[in-house]
Amino acid sequence: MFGIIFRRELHRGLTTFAFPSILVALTALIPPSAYIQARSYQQALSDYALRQAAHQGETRSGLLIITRPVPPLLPLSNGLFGRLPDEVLLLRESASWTPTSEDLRPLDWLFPKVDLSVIVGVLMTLMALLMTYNTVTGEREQGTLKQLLSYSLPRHTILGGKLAASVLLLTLSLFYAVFLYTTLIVAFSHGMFRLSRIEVAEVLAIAVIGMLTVSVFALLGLAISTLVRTSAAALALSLTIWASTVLLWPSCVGYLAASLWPVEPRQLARRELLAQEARLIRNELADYRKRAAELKVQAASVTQAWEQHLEIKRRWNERKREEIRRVMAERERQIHRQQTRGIGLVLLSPYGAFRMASDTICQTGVQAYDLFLEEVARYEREEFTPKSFQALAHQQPGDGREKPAPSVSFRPFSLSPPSLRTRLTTVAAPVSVLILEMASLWLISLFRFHRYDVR
Amino acid sequence: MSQESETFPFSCRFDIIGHADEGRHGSRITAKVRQLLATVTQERLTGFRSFPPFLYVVGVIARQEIIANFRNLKIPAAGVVLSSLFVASAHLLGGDYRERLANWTTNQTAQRDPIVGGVVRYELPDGSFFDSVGTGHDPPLLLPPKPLSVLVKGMDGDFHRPIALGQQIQFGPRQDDKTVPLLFEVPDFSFVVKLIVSLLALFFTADSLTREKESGTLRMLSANPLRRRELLLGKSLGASVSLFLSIGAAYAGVMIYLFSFYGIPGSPDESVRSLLIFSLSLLYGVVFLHLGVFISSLTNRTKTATAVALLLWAGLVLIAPNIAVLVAEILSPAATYNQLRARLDEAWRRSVQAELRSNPGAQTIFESPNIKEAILRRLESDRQLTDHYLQRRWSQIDLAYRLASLTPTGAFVCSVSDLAGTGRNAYRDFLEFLQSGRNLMADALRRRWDLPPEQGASLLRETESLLRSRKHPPESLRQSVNSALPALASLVLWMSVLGLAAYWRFERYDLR
Repeated sequence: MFGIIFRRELHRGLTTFAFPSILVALTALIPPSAYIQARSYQQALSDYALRQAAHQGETRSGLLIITRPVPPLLPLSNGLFGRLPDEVLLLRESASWTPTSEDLRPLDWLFPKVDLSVIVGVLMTLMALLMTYNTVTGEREQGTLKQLLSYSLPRHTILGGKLAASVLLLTLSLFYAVFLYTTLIVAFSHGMFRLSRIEVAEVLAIAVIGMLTVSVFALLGLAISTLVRTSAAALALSLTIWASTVLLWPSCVGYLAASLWPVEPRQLARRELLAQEARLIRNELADYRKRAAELKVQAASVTQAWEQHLEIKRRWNERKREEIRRVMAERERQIHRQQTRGIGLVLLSPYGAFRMASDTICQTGVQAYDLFLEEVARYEREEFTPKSFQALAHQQPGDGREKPAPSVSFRPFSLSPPSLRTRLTTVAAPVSVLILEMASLWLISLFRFHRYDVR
Repeated sequence: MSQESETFPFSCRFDIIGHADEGRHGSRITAKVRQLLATVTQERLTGFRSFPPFLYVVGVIARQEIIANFRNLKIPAAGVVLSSLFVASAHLLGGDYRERLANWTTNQTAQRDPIVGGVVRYELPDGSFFDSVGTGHDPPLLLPPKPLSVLVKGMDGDFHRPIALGQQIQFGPRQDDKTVPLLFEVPDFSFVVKLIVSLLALFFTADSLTREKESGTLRMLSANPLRRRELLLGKSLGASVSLFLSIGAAYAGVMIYLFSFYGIPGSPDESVRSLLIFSLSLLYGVVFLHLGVFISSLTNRTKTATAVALLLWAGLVLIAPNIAVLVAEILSPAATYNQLRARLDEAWRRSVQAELRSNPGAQTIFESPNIKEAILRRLESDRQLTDHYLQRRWSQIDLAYRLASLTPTGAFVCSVSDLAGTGRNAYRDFLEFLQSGRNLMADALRRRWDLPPEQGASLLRETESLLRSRKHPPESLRQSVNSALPALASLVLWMSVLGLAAYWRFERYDLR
C-alpha cells in the first residue's frame, strides 16, 4: 500500500510544476556560480603560489610571513576563506603577532558570492517547502483526502508515502545540483580543481548533509500542512518560518552574540597592549644600558658583549612574550566564547547547521581558521623563534648599518588538515540537530494527521 | 469562525466590498461602498460631474482597500513585524557602529602616542656595535565609520582597516573580531527591506484579483459602471498607501530609536538622506506591489498566483542581483591585492637586476651611482601599478553596480548604499583619498633627494603629520543623489512597466 501512495505522489510531483521549476532554476543558476567559483579558486591558488614565491625571496631572519594554504574544496563552500586575513607576520622582536593584510572585497559586503552551500541551503530548502506545504491541505481542499482515507490505510502510511516521494524527488534534484556543480567546477578550473577519492567522499558527505537539511524543510512543510486548514495559510506560515530561519536568523545571530557577549574593541585592546609592551621595553632598554656600562668598565671584547647582549635579549623576549600573551589570551578567550555561542545559536537554524557542517567539511569554517592560527602559534614557538635566535647568535655584531643577513632556512609552514573522520565527528553536532529537528517534525505531523479533520 | 478568517494576516484577502469579511464587519463596508457606487452611477448617468469622476472613483476604491487592510489586520501586522525587525537590526548594527567608532577614536589618539623604543650602544676596546628595540602603534584607520551605516552598512566595513600610506598603499586587516557574521549577509535595514518588504508587498497584492474572482465579487463589480483601469488604479493606490502606512510607522520607530540611543541622524544632511532612504524603500515596495497585481492578472487561481509570486520573488530578490554581480566579475576582472604586491616586488627586482648588471662594481643597489634615478623610477612604477590596481577594482564595482541596478533588488541596494554614503561613490572617494595621500608622500620622497639629510627627514616628518591631520571631506548630498539616480530610474521603470503590464492584462482579464 505504501508503494501505491508513493507512486501516486511521485507521479504528481513529476507532473506539477514544482519539480521541473526546481530543475530549471538549478540549471540556470549553477553554471555562472560554478564559473565564478572556479575562477576565484584559480585566483586563490595562483595568489598562494605568488605569495610563497615572494616570501622565499625574503631572507631576513627576524621576520617571516605565513600564508594560509587554500583548502581544496573551497569552491563548494567559501565559508570564511578570504573574508579574514590569510597572512600572519611573525617578528622576532615583537611579542604580539598579528594578521597583516587583507584584500579589498567591497562587493562581497553587498552581494555575497553564491556557492553550492548557498544554492542548497537557500534555494533548495525553499523548493522543498514549496513541494510539501500543501500535501494535506491541498488534498483536503480538492476533496481527495476523504477518498484517500476511505481506503482504510493507516494514516502514517499515507503520510510516509507522501513524504518519501517528496524526499526522493528532492534528493534527486540535490544530487543533480551537486553533480552539475562539481563537474562544472572541474571543467572550468582547467585541471586545478581535482577530485581524489577523499574529496569525492567529502562532496558526498556534503550532499548527504544537504539532503538532511532539505528533508527538514520538506518535513516542515508536511507538519505545517497538517497544522492549518487552508493552503494559503500553510504557504504563509511556511514562508514566514523559512524567511526567519534561513534568511534572518543566521544573519542576525553573529551580531546578537556580539551584543550579548561583547569583546573589547580591537584598537582599544591593542593600545593597552602596546602600553604594556612599552613599559617592558623601557625596562629592557635600561637592562641593556646597565650591562653596556658594566662591560665598558670591564673592557670586554665585542664577541663577549654580543653574547651577553643576546642573552639579555632572549630573556626579555621570553618575558615579554609571557606577559603580553597572557593579556592577549584573555581577549582571545572572550572572542572564542562569543564565537562558540554564536555558532551554537546559528545551529538552531537548519540552514545555519548545514552551512556550519559544509564549511567544516570543506575546511573553510571558523574551526579551520582557528586551527590555522593555532598552527601559526605553534610554528612560531617551535620553529621560528628558536631558529631566528640561533641565526642571531651566528650573526656578527655590526655597527648597525649593513648587518650581514645570516642565511637561515625555516621549515616551510604546513597545515595538515584534520582527517575526514575528525571533521565528520565535528559535524556531529549540526547533523544531530538536523536529525532531531526531522524527528520532532515527523512526530508533530503524525500526531496532527491522526487527529486531522478531513472535512 | 469562517474558513477565510483563519488565514494568516499576510495571505491576501483584499476585496473592495469587503465580501470576505461579511461575517464580521463586512456589511458596514459593503453598505458604504454600495452607496458610493450608487452615487457614481447616478453622476455618470445624469452627466453631472462635480468632481473628476475618474479620480473620485479611484479614491473611493483606494480608501476602501485601505480600510479593509486595516480591518483584516494586514497593515497593523505588517507594521508590527517590520517595526520589530527594523529596531532589532538597528540595535545590532548600532552596536557594531559603536565598536567601529571606538576603534577609530582610539586609533586617532594612539597616533599621537610616542613611539617607544631606543638604541643601546656598546663601546668596547676592540670596537662598538649597537642594537635597537621598539614598538609602535598601528597605522591610522583614516576614515571614521559613517553614521548611516547603521541603516545601510554597504561597503563601510571594508574601510575599517589601518592603512599605511608611503610610496605604496598598504592595506591592513579589518578591525573586526566577529567571525560568525562574515558567513552570512549583514542584517541591516536594507537587508530587511530587500527581503521582507518585497515579500510582504508581493503577498499584499499577488492574489488581489484571483481571490475576488474565486469569491465571485469580481463579477459583481463588473456589473457596476466602473472602468477596469479605475479599479486597478484604485487597488494599486490603496495597496501603496497601506504599505506606506506600515513601513512608515516602522521607519518612524527605528528613527526614534536611533536618534535617542545613537544621535543619528545628527545633521540636516543625514536627516535628508534617511528620508530619501525611506522613500526608496517605499518605491521598492511599490515595485513589488505592482508585480503582485501583474501576477494576479496573469493567473486564475490564488494557489497558482502565490506559487508564481514566490518563484519570481526568489528569482528577482535572491538570484538576479547576484548573477548581475557575477557577470560583472567575469566581464571586468580585477587583480587581487597579493597580485599587486607580487607585481610591485617583481618590478623592483627587475630594476635592481638591470642596475647591477650595468654596474658590475656595485654589490647592492645602494652602491650604484644611479641610485637616485632607480629610486625615482621605482616611485613612479609603484604609483602606476597601484593606480592601475585601484582603477580595475573601481571599474569592477562600477560595472557591478550598473548591472545590478537592472534588477529591482540590485537597484534598491545600490541606491540606498549610495544615499547612506556607504556605496560606490564613497568607495571611489576613499580610493582617491588614499591615492592623493600616497602622492603627497611620494612627492616628499622624491624631493628629499635634492635636500640635505636633515631637511629631508624633517620634510618627511611634516608630510607624515600632514597626512595624519588630513580630513576626508564627506560626500555632498547632491553627489550621492546623482550617483543613486540611475538605480532610481531603474526602480521607477520597473514600477511603471509592471503597472502597465498589469493594466494591459487586466483589460483582457476573464472575470468569470
